[in-house]
Amino acid sequence: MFDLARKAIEVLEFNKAEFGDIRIIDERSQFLSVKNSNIGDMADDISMGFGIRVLYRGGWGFASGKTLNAACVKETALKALEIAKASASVKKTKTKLAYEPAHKDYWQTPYLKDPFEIALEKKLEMLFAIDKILTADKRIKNAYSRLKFIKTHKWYASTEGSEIEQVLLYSGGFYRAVSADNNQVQQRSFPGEHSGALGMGWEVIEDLKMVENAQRIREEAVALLSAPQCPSGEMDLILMGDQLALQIHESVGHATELDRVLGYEESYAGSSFATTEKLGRFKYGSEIVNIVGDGTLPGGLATQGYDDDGVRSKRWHVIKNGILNGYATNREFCGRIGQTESMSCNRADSFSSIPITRIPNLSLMPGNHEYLEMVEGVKNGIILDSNKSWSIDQKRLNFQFGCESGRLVKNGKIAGLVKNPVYQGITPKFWNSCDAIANHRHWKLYGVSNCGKGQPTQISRMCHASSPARFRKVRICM
Amino acid sequence: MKKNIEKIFRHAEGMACEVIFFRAKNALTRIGDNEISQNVFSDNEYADVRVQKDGKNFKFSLNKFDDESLKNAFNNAFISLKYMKKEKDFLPLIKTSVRINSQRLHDAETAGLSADFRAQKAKKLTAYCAKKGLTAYGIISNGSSEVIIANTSGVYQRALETALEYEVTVKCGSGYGAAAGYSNNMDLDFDAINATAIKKAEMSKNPIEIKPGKYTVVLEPQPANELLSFMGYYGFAGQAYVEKRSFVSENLGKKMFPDFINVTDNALDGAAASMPFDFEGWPKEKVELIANGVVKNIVTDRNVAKKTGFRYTGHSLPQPNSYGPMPMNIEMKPGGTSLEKMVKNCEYGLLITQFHYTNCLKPKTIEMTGMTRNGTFLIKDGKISKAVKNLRFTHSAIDAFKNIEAVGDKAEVFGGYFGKSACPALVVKDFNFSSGTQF
Repeated sequence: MFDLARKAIEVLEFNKAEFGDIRIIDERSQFLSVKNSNIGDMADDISMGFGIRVLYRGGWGFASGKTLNAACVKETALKALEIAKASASVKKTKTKLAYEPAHKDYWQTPYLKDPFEIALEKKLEMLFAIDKILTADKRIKNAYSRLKFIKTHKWYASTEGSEIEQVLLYSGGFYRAVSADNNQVQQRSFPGEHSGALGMGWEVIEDLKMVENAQRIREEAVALLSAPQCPSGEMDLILMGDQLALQIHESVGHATELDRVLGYEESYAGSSFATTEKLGRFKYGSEIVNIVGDGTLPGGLATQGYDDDGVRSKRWHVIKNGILNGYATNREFCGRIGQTESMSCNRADSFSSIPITRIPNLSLMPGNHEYLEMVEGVKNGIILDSNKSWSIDQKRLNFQFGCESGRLVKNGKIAGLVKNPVYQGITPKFWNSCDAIANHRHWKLYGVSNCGKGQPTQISRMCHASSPARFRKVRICM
Repeated sequence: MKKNIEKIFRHAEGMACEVIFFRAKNALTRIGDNEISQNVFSDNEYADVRVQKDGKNFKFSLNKFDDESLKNAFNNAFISLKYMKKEKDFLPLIKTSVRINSQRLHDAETAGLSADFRAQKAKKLTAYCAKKGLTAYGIISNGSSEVIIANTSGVYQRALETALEYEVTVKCGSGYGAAAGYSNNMDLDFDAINATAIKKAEMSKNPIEIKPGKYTVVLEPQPANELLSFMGYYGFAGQAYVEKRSFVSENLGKKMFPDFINVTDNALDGAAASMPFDFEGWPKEKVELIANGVVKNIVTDRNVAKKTGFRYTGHSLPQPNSYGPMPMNIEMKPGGTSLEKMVKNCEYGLLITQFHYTNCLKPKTIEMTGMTRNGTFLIKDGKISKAVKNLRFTHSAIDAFKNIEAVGDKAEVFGGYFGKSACPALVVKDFNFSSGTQF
């Protein structure tokens, strides 16, 4: 495959591009779902193609193709060059890339069991077993369970001499029970709306214990129909699991993508309040809040040896002892904050997409509290762990998140189930109200598999690990 | 493509087989900080292949059509089918004698626009903004797509379409303004879009803070379309009706909205027209969703039609799927009130340019949340008075529809997660804003 990649590199070098790279990607994905005792999705997909980036007189061009022969690769390289020339005619300042040494390497996701070697029969048996349990109650109107596996084989080559081969693996499972009556719809998901997937093999599915939890999920979905409405007011909030992962994702992850901070996403998802003059001084959260970006995190959905700039994966503090300490960066933009090396956050979701800055695996470091001790420290509060809806403003300040259910806490004791909990806040005020984080025994990885960004839109994946965390005096509505 | 489809059918070795073939060529030039920040082109094609045997479906998709790739994919399918059980609601592949070759939404000039064309448009905007101390962001995108749906029962439908999109956001100090246009051909007024975004940005400087609460709102087409799209997705999708997740489940045939509210799903010849057949190859029908304020119909696929006894309206997504049928070409019939008149008639309210990051809190009541963006203005005594800081709304789309006081005279077209929609501006009373933000 590198022989083919070199054809593109030769064309770009001949035409005096400042920089160029090619990614050739061979991907297989399997997606199975069962819905209300019927097959919902049953697909086994393969795709292969390549994408070529060119930097010419400071302007970017990108073109992709799917025919893997020398003629097509060369033609596509020339197309990318033509586009780069057009870009160069509308540039204020020429794009320059931070230095990265050339790498010649192979990397793959560590795993125990290849999910593509597990028999389809076994996978379907699991999904139908879950479905049987979920649909045992007629008040469940919609029972949905799925398994998804993706294996991505990438070859990367650049005009700087890098040649990197990687094999990445994704395995995930999920189900949801939806109950309804004349006036409402309620749902419970397992393990959570955004969770259930990791960068590992079939062992992820085995560890989830999906069948074992199905009865509980069904019963909770039904119980929500008659549960009381979540009260409104100011309360203490314990966030955990899937919901804390989303909180990190939306209010820290996106806010600290440097391209967004600099304004390059303004036309779509917006920009960020965490502007560069705040770096090193802005109190993003309380002193116990440490949020770390990590492209090397074992099992992380964004874990790989190298990003799509050919930069070796790294680990760094985005928030350190509550202070804004860093951003997600790539080779193009890291220089704008005086950094000489990229934090390896440039990723594309397919061969036909251009790499852009993406949230890395971004995790809240554990604290030193016991979880039960945190609950005992709440006089009037609520525990939320499974996300249902999410919305945040275009500078990542005003957010509103809804959860599937909540458990009230009164005088240190868990008091009861409530439905339709929603909480709202302003990002730095919220993170500064964090006064306790549970210890490492509770620290777990949660994956987000549907992060959308860019134009054309790309979907990316990453993990947010955390232990439960407590936030004081949060506005809980409806 | 036809040769590849025939090849696929040969490899199916007599099994019932359906192919959904997609080919798309798309180019997009992105503007950021008064320069071209990204510039991309992609040319891809792939086929979704479904095979059926003994009451079971298996699907795969691929973008390589050489004999070896097809042989491997089909072998995998044959083996997989052996492990599967017969499906409860299995339906064989569709048959229809109707042949559709839709090309009226394809324009060769639009398909062939060059990187230089897009760069020139970008240059005009960015040069002006740089001169005036403004900052421009946005996209110019053009592309063509081809969809063919064919099966071994003789179905063969084809649709070609082109698209040209231009979106502009302008920053003027603390103010932001935006405007956009979408067309199937070259009929897009780039200068007018630039002028609108710039004017809104200039008017949006130094916004004041107002208290959250209920306001009469004049919703420009984009925010109005957000409400319309959510109504379609959560209300009129057939599967949601069957499972009682939709408000329509208890209200079919009831008059819920003002007389002048008319919403149709029209893939054939309406403002939001596109592919005139569904993903099984069945011709789409125009479906009245709301007629004179009465909740009239849902959209169906064969499964939902069978369960409800309603007519099959041709709204199937690729089968099998877990979503059920979706309205993908929703349009609201324009009324007689211009946007200018809507503002003039408003004693006290808000003019909203955009809704941002909308989501649904409660599907049954379609309670939504989202932020205002890129131009939010206080209206007093029929005039735009001041720019205001952005607000979060939390409101039921159903309640909003019940409170529509006027419908605009011109619909704008938008792309969404499931197809297109066309919506005019709306005036809605008592629209609830639950909180505000700092800008």
